[in-house]
Amino acid sequence: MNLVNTTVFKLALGFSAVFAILAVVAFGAVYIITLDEIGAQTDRELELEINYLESQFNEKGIESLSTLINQREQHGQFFRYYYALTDSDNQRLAGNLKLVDIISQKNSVTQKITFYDDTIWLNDHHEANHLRLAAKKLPNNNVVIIGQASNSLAELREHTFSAVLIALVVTLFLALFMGTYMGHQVMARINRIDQGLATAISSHFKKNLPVPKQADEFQALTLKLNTMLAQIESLISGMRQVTDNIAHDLRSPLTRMRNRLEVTLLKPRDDTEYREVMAQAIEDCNELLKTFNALLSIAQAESGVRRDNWQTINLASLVDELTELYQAVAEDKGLTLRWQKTADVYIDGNPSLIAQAISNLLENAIKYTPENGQIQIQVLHQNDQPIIRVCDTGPGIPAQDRTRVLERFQRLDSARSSKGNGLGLSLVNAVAKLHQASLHLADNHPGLIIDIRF
Amino acid sequence: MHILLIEDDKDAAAYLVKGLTESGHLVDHEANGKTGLGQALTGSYDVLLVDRMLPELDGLSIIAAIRAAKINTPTLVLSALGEVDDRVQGLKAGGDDYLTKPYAFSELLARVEALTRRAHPEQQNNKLQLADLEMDLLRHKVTRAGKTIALQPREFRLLEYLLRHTGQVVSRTMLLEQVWDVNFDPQTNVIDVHISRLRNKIDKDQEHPLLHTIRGAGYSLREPS
Repeated sequence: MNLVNTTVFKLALGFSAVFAILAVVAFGAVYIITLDEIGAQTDRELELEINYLESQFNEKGIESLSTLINQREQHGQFFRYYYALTDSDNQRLAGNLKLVDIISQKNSVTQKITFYDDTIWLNDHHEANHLRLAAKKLPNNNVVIIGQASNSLAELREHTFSAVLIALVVTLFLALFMGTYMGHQVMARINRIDQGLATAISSHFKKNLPVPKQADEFQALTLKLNTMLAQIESLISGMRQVTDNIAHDLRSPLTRMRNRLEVTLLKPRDDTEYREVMAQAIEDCNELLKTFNALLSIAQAESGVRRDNWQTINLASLVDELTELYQAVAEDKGLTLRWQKTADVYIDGNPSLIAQAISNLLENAIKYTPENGQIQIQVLHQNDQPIIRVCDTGPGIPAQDRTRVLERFQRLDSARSSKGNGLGLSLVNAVAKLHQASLHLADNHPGLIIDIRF
Repeated sequence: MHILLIEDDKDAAAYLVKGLTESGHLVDHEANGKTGLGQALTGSYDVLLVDRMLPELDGLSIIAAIRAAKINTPTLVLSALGEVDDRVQGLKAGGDDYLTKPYAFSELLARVEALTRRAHPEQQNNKLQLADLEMDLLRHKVTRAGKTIALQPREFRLLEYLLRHTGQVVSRTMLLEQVWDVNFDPQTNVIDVHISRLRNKIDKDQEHPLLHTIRGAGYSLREPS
């Protein structure tokens, strides 16, 4: 992927822009405040000087002031001031400021001090000088004007401005560089994940992503992606298995039925024989429909569509009824089905599905437990957890097969000879999952203990 | 019986009409919800068979409409939706029974016939009788040819249900629903075991058995012929 197109780069760009705006505001504020402060400083100095001159006039008169001004002007380098003293007819009495501009201001000059900026040609120099001027009317209508060169201020302004500009450019450049660099780093890590995913996809989800060593969000993301890949893999292989199994498990009865019908049609037969064959065909269809219905129920339970319209179920009384239903079947097979009705235990759920699950467990126990065996069903309430437990003394399920038998159509080799479609426990498992319950298989020494823990 | 079938699937309708006619019923067929409702509103039928998904007007609305018109014709809802909760909805809407596709024709026939019996309940004289088999509902006592038969409570309910549907075929699913009040598909022959126990008690050593197995359909309690 192109770096410029990456989110990180765009983010870096965006942040640089925001940063630049902030920098402009900050530096701008500094710039303005500095200039203001310097200007105010100048004005204060001018005011002090003009007040001093006024006090000299008040004490010693106009002559003395003229002398003082001329004196101070000669030491101009020290005082850095330009002066003008005019009488009421605008005649210059002292100072070397040219009066053209000053006179134009004169009408607005009052006994209060006025500040203004001006560019003035000095007497002996042919150069423009930016001055900050202060003017004040003395009590005898003479006017004192003092100027201070503000060239240095303008220079300062320029310097500050270019400093701010440089700072801005550097900031922007750094931000961009950092953004690009960080983007590059992040991109590299994302690219690794990206490549890992591509490999995973091309390997049909059999390969995992390499997990980064650093314990950070990339590691967390990778681990999660790996979990997801594993889940996809198991779903895909599960689906493939289901498809294979459906094809296999349904092909046989369908072929059987088809052949039976075909053979029947080979030659004319009598009515009873036709009826017999058709009745058998119906039986076959019933078995097929049962398998399909079980598959459909599993799929529906797994997709969670039946989660609405739940009711509160009393497990004790539901098991009580189902046990009564299956007691006779167990007895016919020479088994003891034990059930002690216990205190009420309530769960929220779909009554038909729970009943189906319990009956599947009971049917399995009855089917696989040999004669004279024992089956026990219990409803427990351990640590606030409702449990349905079915124990039998049958052959049990080897520990390594206990996960596999929960999958569709999976049957133990030892069970293949008996009737069944290998969907019973899958349905129980799906129903348990739908109810946020879990299925636990354990050894009963001998036999199987199976728990649905809610 | 005069049956109105409202079903838009032509093939399904054709074989239902054929099957029901051959079972001795008179069947009218409507393929759309509106005309079906029009027919149902005449009130001249003994049973309505209504598919849930219909063009123009769905099955449950039809039932709601005829119930609003105070027509109490027993109704069997046919549905491809096949969910337990749909079943509850169907019954709430005023249907009397609910059958999910794919269903066996024998199951449908059994339920249709059971519906008409439900609609015309026998006089409550506290006694049910078939040939020499008698059931006293008040005293919870069953006799065959005068001899008392001891039944478990559930066996009593099973026999009572069969007696109330004498001459009809009842399916295993119907027995599970009506006698045991559970609604699921057992993978094994659990009902057969109970029937065989009941049969042992009422028909054993009798010259004329009353309880018959109807292959592919269920069971039937009948007068000896």
